[in-house]
Amino acid sequence: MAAVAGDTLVSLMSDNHDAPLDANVFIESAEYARLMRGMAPQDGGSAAPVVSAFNSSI
Amino acid sequence: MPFRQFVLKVHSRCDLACDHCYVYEHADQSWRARPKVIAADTVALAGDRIAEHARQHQLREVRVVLHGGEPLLAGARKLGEIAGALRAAIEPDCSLDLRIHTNAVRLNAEFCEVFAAERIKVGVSLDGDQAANDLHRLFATGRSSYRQVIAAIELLRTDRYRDIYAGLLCTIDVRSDPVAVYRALAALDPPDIDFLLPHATWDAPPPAGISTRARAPYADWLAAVYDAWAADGKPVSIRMFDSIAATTLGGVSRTESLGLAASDLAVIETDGEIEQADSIKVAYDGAPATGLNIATHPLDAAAAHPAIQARQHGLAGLSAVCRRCPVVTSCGGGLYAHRYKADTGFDNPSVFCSDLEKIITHVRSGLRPATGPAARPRTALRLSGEQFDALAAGYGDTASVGQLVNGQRSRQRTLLALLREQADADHDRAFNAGWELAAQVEQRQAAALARVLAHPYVRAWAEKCLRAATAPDRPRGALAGQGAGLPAEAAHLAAIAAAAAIRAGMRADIDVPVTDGYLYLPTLGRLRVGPESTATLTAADGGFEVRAHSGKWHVQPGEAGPDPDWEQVRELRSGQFTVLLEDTDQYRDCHEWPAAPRLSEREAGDWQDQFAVAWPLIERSFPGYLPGLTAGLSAVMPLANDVPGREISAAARQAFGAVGAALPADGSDLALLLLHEFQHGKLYAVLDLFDLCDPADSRLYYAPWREDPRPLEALLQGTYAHLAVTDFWRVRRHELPGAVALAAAERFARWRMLTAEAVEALAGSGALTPSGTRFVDGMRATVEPWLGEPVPGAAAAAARRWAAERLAAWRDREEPERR
Repeated sequence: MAAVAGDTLVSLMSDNHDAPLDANVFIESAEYARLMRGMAPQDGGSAAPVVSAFNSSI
Repeated sequence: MPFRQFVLKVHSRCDLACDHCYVYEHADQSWRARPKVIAADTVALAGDRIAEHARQHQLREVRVVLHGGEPLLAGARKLGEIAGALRAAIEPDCSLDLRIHTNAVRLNAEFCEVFAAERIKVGVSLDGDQAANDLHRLFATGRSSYRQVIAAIELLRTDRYRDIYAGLLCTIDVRSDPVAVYRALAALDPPDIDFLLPHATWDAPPPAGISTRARAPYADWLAAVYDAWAADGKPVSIRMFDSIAATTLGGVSRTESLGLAASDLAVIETDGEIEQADSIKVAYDGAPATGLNIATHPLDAAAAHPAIQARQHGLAGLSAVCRRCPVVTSCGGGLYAHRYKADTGFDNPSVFCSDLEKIITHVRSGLRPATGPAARPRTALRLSGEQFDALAAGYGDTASVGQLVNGQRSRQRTLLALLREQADADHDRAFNAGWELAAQVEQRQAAALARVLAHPYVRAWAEKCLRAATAPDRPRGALAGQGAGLPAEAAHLAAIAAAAAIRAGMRADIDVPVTDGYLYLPTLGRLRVGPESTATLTAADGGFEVRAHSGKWHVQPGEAGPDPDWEQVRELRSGQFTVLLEDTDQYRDCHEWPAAPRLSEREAGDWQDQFAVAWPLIERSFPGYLPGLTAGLSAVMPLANDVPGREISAAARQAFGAVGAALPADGSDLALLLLHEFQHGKLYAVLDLFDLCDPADSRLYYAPWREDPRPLEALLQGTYAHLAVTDFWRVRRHELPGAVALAAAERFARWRMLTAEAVEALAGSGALTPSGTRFVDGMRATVEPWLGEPVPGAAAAAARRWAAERLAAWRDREEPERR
């Protein structure tokens, strides 16, 4: 989900792209949970695959 | 989907006469016909059915809550026998989290001893301080239950029973003082507090009335609690507020009354009847019934019951009003029972709709990251509407893809910070040394470190380490074998830092791990050093020296006549544009097909020959994709291909910027593969920023480019990629000669039709988030005009035939099972 401010979409992800390596990067527990969910295999086969693949047969 | 939680009714009567009780005081009166106490045979059967269900669905854990009525009326000995029978039946197949929920009026040391022995956690209903509690929680004589309940909770707080104290459950009455209620509950030091809205429907409104935008008394009451709780430093977990915070940031709700997660709960009554959640009793007499009984039906039959499945459709299962609501991912339409209205059933927003919207907005406005003295203020990543729409259309300019790159850098920094949190000062020395050197490189030449950290497979490494470091069943040090906080592979940070130092031209000494005989330097290459575990690397002036027991090497990357043990990462070049031909990285083997081994010079030359055709073709014929590719594509990773003539390629979510591919037939095919796979890369990066699909949607969809039915997000991925495939053939049919042009036209006709159909399947799923709807609208705006472009009749007919045959084959495979 995304919050919408004006016509800007605000991500769930903190913007740390220019944070120095030693900066204290804090992450809320819920953002952490989303990060872990995004990379963990999920039960039931309903999650989006981590890998997409294309066999073009062209 | 399977059940994971079971409410087992062990006694159907109660010793209190609370006037807000959903069992006795609301529409459903089925309790009157039930046995008072569950029979031993019924308990045994319940255990067997749950075990059977756990086996069939390979569940690792189930939760059973002993409930009533008032379960303590069954007596301590009986409850101990029930627990024993359940554990005996279920625990051979999966672990059992056993709980009891009670009014605690009778809870004494005898009960607590049984619960401690049987590992039964105890939840207690208490509505706050005495004034609040006495509004409803009274004996039939009108006498207060408060003092007895407090005495029981004090017993649970003692050291002997503290471990079985699960929490307090409070039903809200807005006449009570919210802060006094919260403070009274918090003073009892519970592990968890649950605030419940009183059960109500549109036909039986809440005691304080149906809320409106102007008047939302339950939200105001909860907001006062939230403010006091936040001011106190959130000293205790409050499930409602924690769930709003979690769902706001994409996590999962901890309560079935909020969020989009599918219901996984079944109730087993004292007579073995399988029912839906108790709260539905508020709707109408018989509302929770399924007509099923554990004596005659497995739990799978209940799982397949339409009323149960109706609560498992996430966003798609909500009313139209809810689906459009900005707080829907947190609210989830509220508790299912609260949506009921006689004429429209459950297809309504909650009767507490305005209350829920207001309290969710209030909690969201109070969400701030944890901060410390040196903390960076949290800012969120953003995409302008224009950037988002440009990506949705299938393209994306330099700025929009640049913002996706920033998202990947942010994620990388966060992953590193999380790994560092887990690192142990004594036992993760290689990781810590790597960290120290990386920080030094950053101070001297930040771009050199950024270059290495942005390498696609650095994220693959970081995620692998974090998964291992946070695995729930991982004993400390088990992976490293030496008591470390991180898995052994975390030492790769030393190699990352070394590569950055080399790129920065710095002098540095560091021990770097050796794996399978190679020392790996991301973005640079690998050095064959033989059977070592570590080697010492000294970087200086853009080169490096490696010393190990097995020898000594000096490498100057890029220099002619390199050491034969050094395998440098080569580049593919077209004009000024280069990407890595990545066939050395230790973590590159994360695509669907296995990575190819190190290429020979001739094989690398073949790749270069094709790239020299592919890239100019993209520049000339597909300029809409060029800015994004230029900003984001950084590596082509050769895949192994053991089937001659088969063309394969793959993107990986944890390796943004890399396209995996086996060498295709020619440069034109390589251009198509690059366009196709980078679409996946862009969309993965968008999905790292925003949820486009309802994560609770568990349905599978027809995807014409696959043999197997696909989850919604996978269908979105395939459709987005096929926008570019369609565009490729749309353009190429005009560029290719003769019969090949006709084949290209057929492919254009085929993919535009199927991509447009897939767009409509996505749009019609009812399971897109608002951002997802906007994204799919953008895709539609691209493909729709293509449907009107003329193609030769033979090409159109061939495309229709291909699509029909594909669909028929799919139906043959899938529909017998689906029926």
